Amino acid sequence: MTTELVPPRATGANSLKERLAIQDRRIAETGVFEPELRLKGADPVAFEVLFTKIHQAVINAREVALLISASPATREQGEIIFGLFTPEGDSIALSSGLMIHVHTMSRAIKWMIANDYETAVGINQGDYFFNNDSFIGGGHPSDQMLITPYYVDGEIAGWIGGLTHVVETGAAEPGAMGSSFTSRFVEGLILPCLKVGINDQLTRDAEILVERSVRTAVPWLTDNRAKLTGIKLIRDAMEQLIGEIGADRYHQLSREYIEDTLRASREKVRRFLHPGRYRDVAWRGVSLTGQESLMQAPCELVVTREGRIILDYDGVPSARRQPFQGTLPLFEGMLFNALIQNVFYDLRYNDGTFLAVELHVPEGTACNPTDIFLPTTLWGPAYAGLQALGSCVARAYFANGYLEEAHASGPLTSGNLVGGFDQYGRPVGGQCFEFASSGMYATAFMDGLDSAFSDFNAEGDMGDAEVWEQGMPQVWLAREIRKDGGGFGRYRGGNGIHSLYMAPEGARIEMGSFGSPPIFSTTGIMGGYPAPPLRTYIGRGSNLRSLIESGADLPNGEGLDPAEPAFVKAISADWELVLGQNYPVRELEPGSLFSVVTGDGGGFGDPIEREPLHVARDVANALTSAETAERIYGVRLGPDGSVDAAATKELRSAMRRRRLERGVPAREYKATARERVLAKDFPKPVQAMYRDVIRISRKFATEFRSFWNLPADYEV
Amino acid sequence: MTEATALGRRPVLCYTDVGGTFTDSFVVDDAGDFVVGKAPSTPSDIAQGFFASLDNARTQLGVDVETFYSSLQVIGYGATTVLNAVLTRRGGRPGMLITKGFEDLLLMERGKQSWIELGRADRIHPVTHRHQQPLVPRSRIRGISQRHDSLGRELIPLYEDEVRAAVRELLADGVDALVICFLWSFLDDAHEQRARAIAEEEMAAAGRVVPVFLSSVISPTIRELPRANAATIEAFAGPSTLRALREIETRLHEYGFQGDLQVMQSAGGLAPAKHVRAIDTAKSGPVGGLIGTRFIGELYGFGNLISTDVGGTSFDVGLVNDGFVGVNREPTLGGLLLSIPMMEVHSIGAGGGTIARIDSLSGRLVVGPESAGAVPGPVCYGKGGTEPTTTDADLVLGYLAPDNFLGGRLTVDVEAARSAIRTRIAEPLGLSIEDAAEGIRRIVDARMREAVIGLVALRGYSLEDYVLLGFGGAGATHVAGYTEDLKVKAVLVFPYSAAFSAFGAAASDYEHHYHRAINTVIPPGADEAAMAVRGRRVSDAWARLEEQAREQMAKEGFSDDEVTLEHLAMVRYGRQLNDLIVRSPISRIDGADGLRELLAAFEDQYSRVYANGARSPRSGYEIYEVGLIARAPKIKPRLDRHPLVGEDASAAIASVRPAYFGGAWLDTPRYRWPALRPGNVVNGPAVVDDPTTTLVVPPGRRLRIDEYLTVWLEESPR
Repeated sequence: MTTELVPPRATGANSLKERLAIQDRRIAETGVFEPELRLKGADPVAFEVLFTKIHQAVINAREVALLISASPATREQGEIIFGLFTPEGDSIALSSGLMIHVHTMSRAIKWMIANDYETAVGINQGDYFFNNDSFIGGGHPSDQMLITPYYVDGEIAGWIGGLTHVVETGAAEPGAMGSSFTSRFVEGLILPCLKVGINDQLTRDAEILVERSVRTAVPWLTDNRAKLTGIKLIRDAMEQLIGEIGADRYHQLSREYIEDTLRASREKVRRFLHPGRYRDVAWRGVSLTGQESLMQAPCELVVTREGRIILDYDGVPSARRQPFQGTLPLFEGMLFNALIQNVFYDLRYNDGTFLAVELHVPEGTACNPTDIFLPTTLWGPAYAGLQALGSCVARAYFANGYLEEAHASGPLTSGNLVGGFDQYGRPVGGQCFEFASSGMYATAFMDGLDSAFSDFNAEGDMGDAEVWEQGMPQVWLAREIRKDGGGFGRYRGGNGIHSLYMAPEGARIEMGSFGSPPIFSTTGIMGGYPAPPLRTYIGRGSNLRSLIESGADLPNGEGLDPAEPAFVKAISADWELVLGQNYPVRELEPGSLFSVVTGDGGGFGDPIEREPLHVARDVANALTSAETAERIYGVRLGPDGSVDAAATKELRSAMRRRRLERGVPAREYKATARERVLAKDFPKPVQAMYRDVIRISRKFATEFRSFWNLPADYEV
Repeated sequence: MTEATALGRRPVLCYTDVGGTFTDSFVVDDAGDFVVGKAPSTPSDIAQGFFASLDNARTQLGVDVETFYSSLQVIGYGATTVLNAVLTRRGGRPGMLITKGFEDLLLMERGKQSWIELGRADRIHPVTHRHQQPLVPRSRIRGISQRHDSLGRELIPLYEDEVRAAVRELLADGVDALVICFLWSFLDDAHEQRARAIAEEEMAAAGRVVPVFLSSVISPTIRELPRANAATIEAFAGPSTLRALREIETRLHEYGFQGDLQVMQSAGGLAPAKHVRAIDTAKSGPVGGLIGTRFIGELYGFGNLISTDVGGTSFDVGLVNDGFVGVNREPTLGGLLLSIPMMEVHSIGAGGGTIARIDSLSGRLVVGPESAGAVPGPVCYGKGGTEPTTTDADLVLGYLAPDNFLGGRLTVDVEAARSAIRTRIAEPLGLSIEDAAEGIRRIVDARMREAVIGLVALRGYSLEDYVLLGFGGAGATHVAGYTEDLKVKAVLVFPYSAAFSAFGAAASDYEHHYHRAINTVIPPGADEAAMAVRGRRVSDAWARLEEQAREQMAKEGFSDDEVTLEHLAMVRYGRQLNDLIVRSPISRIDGADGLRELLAAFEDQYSRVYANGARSPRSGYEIYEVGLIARAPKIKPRLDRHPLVGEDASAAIASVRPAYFGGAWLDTPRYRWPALRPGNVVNGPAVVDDPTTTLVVPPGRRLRIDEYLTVWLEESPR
């Protein structure tokens, strides 16, 4: 079976830049990537067999690189992905791993093409380009990609890329993700698509640059070698494949794989999501001194009857000199990660998925900043935008009756940063990635998993404490499931993790944390409660040593009252409570304590509809307090922990009566609230946000004034 | 070695594999021939199926019970008892003492255990993830104040009163075993040992004694969750497993067997039932194939081999590198992470029962990973299966003979298979039934081929260095497909392909594996003195393992002369998180030069596995674990050489029938495998039938029978 093929060079373009422009124009005009699936139609078996080869090559690359890497985030949490791309930079096949980067490497390749790398820099076989500039591609300086072109018979056949998350970038704070950053100039070493390798070797001068710029160079350098090794594996496989089937057939196949995914993506949406317009909003806060404010990420999801998805984020506040914002490539990555986890999980992953979605994000906002000197360390509303999209998709599934896919919001991302010197006297900078195992959202049919999930990487893994302690000087005194953490609901959100660290004697250790200010960001759904905000405790000058020496009791867990944790009550120290989890990295004296929590999942449904036996089980497992059982779930337990059915029934009836007594008609509530809006009676951070958004978003301003029936000249 | 036909021969060697459905006994007689005894497995009382299977073999040999058991010099045993206990959560009632603050360890499962067993799509689809029921519920776990750090230094002393109180409470709660798992106990086990002593005092005082399992003894390696899992599994499933083994051994002795019952270990090698730990026997199933592959390699002088086993639901691939079977040091068992070394086998969902379907979203033809399993099985079995499988495709293509399926033991319905392929695959794709069936085969073969390439990329050298061995029930049927264009040195098929795993297990030596954590960081530019100190640390650890090994082997009746030792070091570059198992060229390190020799072996192996560009010698080196394998020889199945009789194989042709190759029906001779003689050459297209399997030789390939009756699948000369 043969089919007539048109080689890419026959488009009339002389350069990659021209080819990319032609392609972009054609996609914009037609909405398709490749008009016909000729090879698939002619020989569907060969189509599958060849994709098996291509896909296995990128999977092999990832598995090999995992064995070579040195970053805990890479080896333990699988924060690594490889991709194969067309000459124009569209992904054909991706390994598993960090699905956020389904398109961020594409972005970087297209950026190099658009910025005349062909002529100004030179693109040759064996060249390697390194990028961790998130305005070009990637998520933040920790996300580091290595990209190489590959050639067959002197003509570019495509690109291959590998990306890992490295936990030290030489930033002002160790661990790369400091919450105090106000500009790009303190985010560490940022290399924008810099050529760091020629003739299949990483250049020594580029390695020296890294060695002299970051606290711990080994993970960065070793991960680069891991990526290079993986990339070569893919290249060898592709060169062999092209040798077998010819370059023209390979190019046609590549394009058809992308188009095939695009069509399957639309079909999936058409069949499973109910057409309509869905809206939700999630928030993040800015806790930087002098800049305290709220940042909203309002998501509007439109599902068309034809299976198109249109996303609009008009209403995100302005980008500013603070770290809680993400670039457009990152935001695209977050959204597509959410769509892959929730909708496209059973398809091939490539840029066909990306093309199935139309995205609008206003320029200059915190989800699409244009000032390249702004920091983009901690994503803020970009992450909230993902949560809001998840809720919209849940409703679109729910409306079609697919309860098994409907869920509340996922957890916040938060953790601790570590610097100083390790136990072998080596300088260290890093972060503990246990937030990859946060509490999962509740769904319409089950509780969220405790300590097992993150929105940014579905394959949640906190790693073993011993492995973390081997590479960093922190010592855990407790690593436990956070009690009462997940949002309450008929199905409760999963609980996150509480970790209590000790600065050991003789160590020189610095610690900090990052996460969210003290606001509810993880929302519940269908009556479920949100998850609680995060916090950090720092205890300096503790009496831990004397407690140990005297053999006194050492309660090191949080206990069942997060408002006053057991360790705070039992250990005397100069305790500092930081609401929210943004504490700039500072030195900790030996014996000091540092407590952080990871995020929890949102709840689903009304808590007083929760199965009482599930409440009793959670109380027995110390996951829910007896007080919460009674106050929130309306479940009374007997002395032996069993459910007192009669008392529970009465309690729940009383709770329903109280709700009715407390409730007011919506119209009445809105009228009261309108008076506050008219009076501009907002908390300061909220006022700052609305003032900004109404100024920059005509759509939001119009809808806000219309909803509250405000004068046309209303300003906050 | 040939299948035994004459009656009255005396058995010398037996290996019994207790599978999920059948218990197979591979019995070799004094002439080097063998029989395979078969009986249904009896999970509720393993001994019943075990002895029924042996009795079936005995009947085939035509000897009485006393002669049979008294003649046997070795009886080996492999089972999935431990795995079954873990999967069904039917086991003991252990309690656990753990470092305070880590009481939720088993509930948290590191997150990873909630998805580790899932397929690719479900892994990124979080609503499919589930926590497992812990083997020890939270209510029977007690936190104990104590702490060591990563250098093995004591940070918090053991709070002995807490241990006493916890043991009392747990005993009162009715626990039947105690697990003790403290952080960093593999570097300093003093707290675990002291806690055990206290527990024993409390048990004596309470008048109730239960076994105590220390994580530092069961799995003395880094990573607290896998270490806790290993100790917990031993406590949960070990006592009942070992009790069952003792009962079997007692009965064997009553029947006249005079040796020790030998149990197959997951890391390879047999060990006496009275000395094994249950956790070490948990995954013995795939081990036989790998040991058999190594055995064949030794016979032919091949050091690098790929073992490929095609069963009904999975394709299992493993590697032998330089005569050393690959080891997975972070395996899983029933979804639990472990750090117990096990022979490494990678599995994908591809085999005879693998289902083919059209993806409703994209219209793609997808084959696997789902399987029709044994029930309902392929459509052609007529047991209710409606979705076409690989076996249905093989039947439609004329490779499997409907009138002689599995030697005539199973009646199959070709028309049902054709109908299913027509309606579910061919018509939606606009293909003929035969092209659709060939498509199913090509896709499943491609998946198997890529799995081979993947494992070699991951753990091996280059494909050209390897000889591939194909076996398993469907191995011979698909080996030509999955080795097409695979650039390996040679492709071999064992004559009794379906029984190869049992043969391999019977070919095992007596073995014990030991490992020990050490803490050796070799910074870049370390001077002579620093190198010497670190080298001695490695050497001292080996010496301690040697002592342990010799003591153990002596207990089992082996003299020092009979025992060979292999010294291993797990080496990585500075700050890497994964290490390579290096077979040390030396067994003692006296100074800096010795350590350099070991590191040179690491560098050499690293370059061969990962390519030169992956090396990072400027990062320094780290050695956190050393290992030792102690082996003693055992009698093995004998493979006899036969004189070559010439290429002409026409005498073995049973019929000529059409079979579909490359888009056309071709007249294809069918050969009787047992009738093929050494030296015979069969050019494709051809099909070779054996009562247990069918070998397919496509056009362009040929087979050659060598003097050991091994099949060499080769390219036909052009």
